[in-house]
Amino acid sequence: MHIHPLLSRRRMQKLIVLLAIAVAATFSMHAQDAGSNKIPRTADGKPDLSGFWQVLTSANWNIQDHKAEKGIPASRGIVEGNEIPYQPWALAKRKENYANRETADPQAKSYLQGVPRITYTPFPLQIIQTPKEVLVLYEYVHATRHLFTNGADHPPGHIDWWLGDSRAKWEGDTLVVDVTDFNDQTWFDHAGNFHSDELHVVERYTLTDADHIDYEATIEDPKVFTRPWKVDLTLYRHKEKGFQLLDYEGYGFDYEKYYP
Amino acid sequence: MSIRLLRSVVAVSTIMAALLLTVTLVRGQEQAKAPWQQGQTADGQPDLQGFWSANPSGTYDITDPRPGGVRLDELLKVRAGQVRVPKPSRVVDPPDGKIPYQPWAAARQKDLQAHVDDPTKPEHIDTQARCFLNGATRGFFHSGFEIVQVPGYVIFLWEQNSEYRVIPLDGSAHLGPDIKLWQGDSRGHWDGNTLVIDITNLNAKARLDMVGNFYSDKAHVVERFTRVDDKTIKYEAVITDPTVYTRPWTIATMFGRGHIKDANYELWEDACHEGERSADKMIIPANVLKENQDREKAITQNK
Repeated sequence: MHIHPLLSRRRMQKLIVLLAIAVAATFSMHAQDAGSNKIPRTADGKPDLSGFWQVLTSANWNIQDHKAEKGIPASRGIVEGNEIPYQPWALAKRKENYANRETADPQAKSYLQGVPRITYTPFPLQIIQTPKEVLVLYEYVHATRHLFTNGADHPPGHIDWWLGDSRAKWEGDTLVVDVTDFNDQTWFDHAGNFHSDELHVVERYTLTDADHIDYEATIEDPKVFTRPWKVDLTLYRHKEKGFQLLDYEGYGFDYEKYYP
Repeated sequence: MSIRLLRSVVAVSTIMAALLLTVTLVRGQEQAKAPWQQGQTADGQPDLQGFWSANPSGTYDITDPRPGGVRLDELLKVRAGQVRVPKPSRVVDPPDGKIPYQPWAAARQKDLQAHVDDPTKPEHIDTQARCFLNGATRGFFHSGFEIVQVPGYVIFLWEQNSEYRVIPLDGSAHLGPDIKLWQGDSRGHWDGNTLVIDITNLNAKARLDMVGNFYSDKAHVVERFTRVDDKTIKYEAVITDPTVYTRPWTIATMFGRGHIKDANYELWEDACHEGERSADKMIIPANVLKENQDREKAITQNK
């Protein structure tokens, strides 16, 4: 085959090298852009999770892949592998929950939503990071979680709490939160996914850049599941000027007419 | 060790011990004399942080501070001739310690107070019994609370009902009037070492205490927090509401610091609403009310 002299092998090689350099330069410029969106840090060098955050996923209604229903957007699920490894008795219970969900969902009573559901209940949350704890304030029924970073261990258990007891430490740039001491009263979503009081959750909060937290939770419950499983979702930073938490006092609405 | 060496060691040790003792005594005296100085947070706010509670505590009646009485207990004390000495009203202005209600509002409060122990309608039941948030001022009187300060914010936290108030210090304007909030909308700023908090946008569904003292959603509350020493904060709140009162009036009280020796004291979960089973059951049918009143008369008169 005749090749034009301008496209000789040598020239082609040089051209490819030049192209490669140009592409590399472009990528490094993008990397620098990502670098300028670098994660904020506290005075002690830890990533600073402080700010206002909210999920965009509709996991609150169903943590697995689901089609749209009236009032509920379709969504890919947040469950890794989309499978929840129920024991056989528990799968039957989950089906029963699903059938009764309109009244049986503890969200219908505006109860504290448990972990991790409180993270993806569709209301904003505020994180305030101090030396002794990562304080999480949720707009939904003014729920509060103290993710203690003071080195103290879980108190002697078992305690039946709705949001568990949280003990946190930094592993590199990831806040790892060990959560135990749950009651069995909460669901993971409106579709009836549930747990027992032996629930153990390990949360991982990682700022992937200044405006996004990758939130992963490993869920373990030997009474209900055959193995641990994970959910993974993104928390988006609220960028509106002057953003603040308002309120959602769900159990107050029916009584407001009596007061003041 | 030779005796000579031993003697030297003892001599040197004694001298050193004496020196150390002297230094310690002198230092101790210096510390005892050093006046308290308020610390600052990392972003330069005067430091209010810690665990605090009102002294006196009690959410029963802001003009008569005490915890909500157990009715039978109180009745038995009356029968035994015990006289309770009331503490001074939290209301410091007007000087008579009474809330300056307009006549219609005074009548309403009296009616609510008459039904504290004998509620016959849903509105007779105290909002706190329903696990509703405390709104303006009340949260500081019913239980202990924590103050946390971070750049740009002062945060009040309560273990009870996991209540919180977030106070931005950025000088931004209040929310528009169409958003009514249980805790109202708070905006704070520092006036020297006094934290001034301006509260509007109250939904006014929370009450000021158990005996039905109240405000409307037109209320405007200005709170002032001044730390006077390591263990004391002076608190003042001026309440203005021209639809309810004849003039602005002022609450004042002191907060004392707690858990001083326990730097790692923790607030834990308190699931109020989740455990609430009885608020509506407190409503008494008329016939039962009559029985109760007769029985109580018998208890207090039976000597």
